[in-house]
Amino acid sequence: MPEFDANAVAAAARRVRLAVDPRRRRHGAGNRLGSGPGASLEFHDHRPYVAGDDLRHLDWGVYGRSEQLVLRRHRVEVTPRVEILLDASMSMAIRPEKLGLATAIAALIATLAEADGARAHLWSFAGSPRRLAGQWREELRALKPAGAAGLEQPVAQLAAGAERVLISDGLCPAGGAHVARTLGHGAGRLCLVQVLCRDEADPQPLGAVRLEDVEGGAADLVLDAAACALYRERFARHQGEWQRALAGRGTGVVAVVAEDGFEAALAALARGGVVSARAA
Amino acid sequence: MILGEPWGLCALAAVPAIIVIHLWRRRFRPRPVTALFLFAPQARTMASGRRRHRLVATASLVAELVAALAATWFLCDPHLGDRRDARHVVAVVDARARMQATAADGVAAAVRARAALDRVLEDLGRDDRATLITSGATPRLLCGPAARPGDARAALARWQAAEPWHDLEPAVALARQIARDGAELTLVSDRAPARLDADVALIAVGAAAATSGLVDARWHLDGDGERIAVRVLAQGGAPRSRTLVLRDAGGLVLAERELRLEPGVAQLALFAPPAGLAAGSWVEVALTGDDAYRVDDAARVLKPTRRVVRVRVEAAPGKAAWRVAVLRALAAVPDAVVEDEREDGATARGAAHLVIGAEDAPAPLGAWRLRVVAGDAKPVLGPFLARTGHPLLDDVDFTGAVWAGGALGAVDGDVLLAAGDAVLLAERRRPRVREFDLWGALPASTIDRHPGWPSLIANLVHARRRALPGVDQPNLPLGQPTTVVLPPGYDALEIAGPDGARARLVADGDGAVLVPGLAHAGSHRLILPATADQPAVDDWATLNATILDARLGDVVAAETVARQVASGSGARIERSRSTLEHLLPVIACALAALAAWHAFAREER
Repeated sequence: MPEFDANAVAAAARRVRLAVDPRRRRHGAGNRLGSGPGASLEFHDHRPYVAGDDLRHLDWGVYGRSEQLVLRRHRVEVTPRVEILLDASMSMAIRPEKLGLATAIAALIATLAEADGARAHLWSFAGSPRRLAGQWREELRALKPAGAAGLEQPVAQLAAGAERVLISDGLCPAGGAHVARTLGHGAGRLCLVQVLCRDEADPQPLGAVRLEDVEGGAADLVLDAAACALYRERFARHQGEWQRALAGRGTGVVAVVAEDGFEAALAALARGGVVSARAA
Repeated sequence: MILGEPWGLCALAAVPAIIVIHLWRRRFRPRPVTALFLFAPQARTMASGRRRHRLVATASLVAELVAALAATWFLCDPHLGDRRDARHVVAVVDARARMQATAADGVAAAVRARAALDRVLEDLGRDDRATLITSGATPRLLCGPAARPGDARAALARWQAAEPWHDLEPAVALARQIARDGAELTLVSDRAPARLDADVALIAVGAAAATSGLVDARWHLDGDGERIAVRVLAQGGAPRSRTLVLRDAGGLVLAERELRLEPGVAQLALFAPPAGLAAGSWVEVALTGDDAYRVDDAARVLKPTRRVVRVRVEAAPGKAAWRVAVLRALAAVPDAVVEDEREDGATARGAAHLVIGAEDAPAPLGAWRLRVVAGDAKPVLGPFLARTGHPLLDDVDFTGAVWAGGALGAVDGDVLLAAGDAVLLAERRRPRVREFDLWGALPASTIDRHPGWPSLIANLVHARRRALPGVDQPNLPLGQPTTVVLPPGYDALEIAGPDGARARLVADGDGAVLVPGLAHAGSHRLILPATADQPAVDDWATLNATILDARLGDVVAAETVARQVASGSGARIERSRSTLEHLLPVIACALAALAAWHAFAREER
């Protein structure tokens, strides 16, 4: 079960806020201004009157000046929705600190979303995808990693236009494009917070080893400098695929290193534009 | 190279097993990863199954082999020689009862012998060896051979000198056999023996003393009447008086006799037994007063069972000469009750043990039979050829007798007595039954007037008495064998000694059990185990073994003397592993196993 420092998460939540693109907020009535016309007091634009429009929205000032029937429109007020998709497959549990950091980041984003008036929906991908209910903090603590598929599974209940944050190591054999297509469909924004162990990003020569994939499979290998360089090259290609898949859909890929701890990850999230510092 | 435990070599089977394990050992350290697909496929090998690799001399392999070899070393105990030099004392301890004779200080020779030998054993080193032999009719090992001194001292502490008279030579010969490898031979006794080889050390711890004691005590029950005969002998010193008393089982003095004992002259004292005592009852005869050797100052005497032979002499027409001769001879035989059919008719007083007649009829069940019949042989004057050693012909000599009517030709049975071609006496043997044929025409012979005739009839009755069930003489000296005849229906006998030990003896076809010489003084219960037809009898009879022997009471020549021989230090004794030899391979095995575990853990890390 993941271990994360709830106090550190709470403290971080007081220092940063979720960076949400208002243009993508279009979901239902809420307390945040949406990108489209709606029923708030904030002016949006005018449009010519057409039969059937609500006469209460006629701009009588304009009619007085120009005898044109013009309808005054206001900005819509919305409640943004943040969907956090937490990869809890066996690969996330290869080190306790990896799953702990991933869980802490999920808790932070959910907390920030709730603090920002957004609706936070947490999904765990331990075996089959499952939405964590209202007591998501307790469910996060009780999370048991399982399965090998991770984020490579479709979820039907994801809402269109939602801010969608994937928290995973992103080491899917199918590649980032496949995941982005599967889970990014209809999302307002889609980003990947990639939690990696140091040796997953930068393996070191270990000699003759039997590589045992925690999600299945094994291979005997002489892990020398050349093999490490080859791995790094393939890893870079893998990362490039992720970045291309997420380009133009938000903050893209934000990689954090599990061994560096939560504060370093927070800084990376800030640099990546996932969170921003709160005004003093 | 000698292996103490050759089966220990089986541990070497671990060596090829270890090598095989290392040949197929997977040498890739397991490493958990999350992105196996990112590693170059051309650098990966198939992980399924195991394959044989070149044997690599890893630290774990070497340590495991060392551990296996050390375990083999421990188990098979290799060594160069199975014997080594050390002191080995082989001591013969005189276990005759006279070692219980005490000196003026009241200490028995056996106690001093034990102390003297204990000092010898105490001087031995831990790796030296000792063998203790206690003398006896059959010498036996008290400890050893080549036991550790501590074990020998413990065995010596349990030793008792209570054996009947015996020669020390067999024990010394046994010791000499054991001591062939250069051991030191020592004899511990109460005096120097008449002949002792120069290479045998002597520890004599006796003290000369004048003694007197019983040398024989018996309860006689025969034709001369019933009496208790006791012989007393004084040895050494001046003539002296001692009082001999007869007590009953309750300790009541029944008779008392003052004896004036001359050294070396045995005195016989006769007592009339108390009336009314049943067979198997006992009385005690004892000499009062102090004595250096008290073992022979008192003895129990058991009353024997009177064994009467009932003889039936069959009727014959007229005044048959053979019948007259038989009846005349039987009249002189004690404890023979004759049932003369002419007088008693068919109503015998009991089943006859012996039937004498002229008819060719089978003997009654369980009875012996003598048939007197005339044959065709002419009178002969000898020479008579008798079966040597047969009890019927013991002290029987018909020289000078004219014997007519012997049997010519073959007869049924074994010939016991013959003259020329004529068979005079023949025997047929069946279990518990004897049938004798006496061939002779008495009117034409002089055998019934010859001294051999009553002897022959007396021997016949005596042999029949000895074949009756029971104990012939219940009072026996230690070591003297005797024969006990079991009642019909029983085929085995159990003897329970005074120490509770039991021995089972099997009877022969005549129901006779040969009881070997008893080893412990005191009452021995004779028990009849149950058979298919007969119930068990727990106290059928009793044998009383006494340790009375004039030779045991002779401590006049006892002395305290020690004779040393050149101390040997080069006896070849059986090697045993020292503590270091025990522990070294075990420690080596443990260390190698620990090193193997560490090395393996490092190699797999």
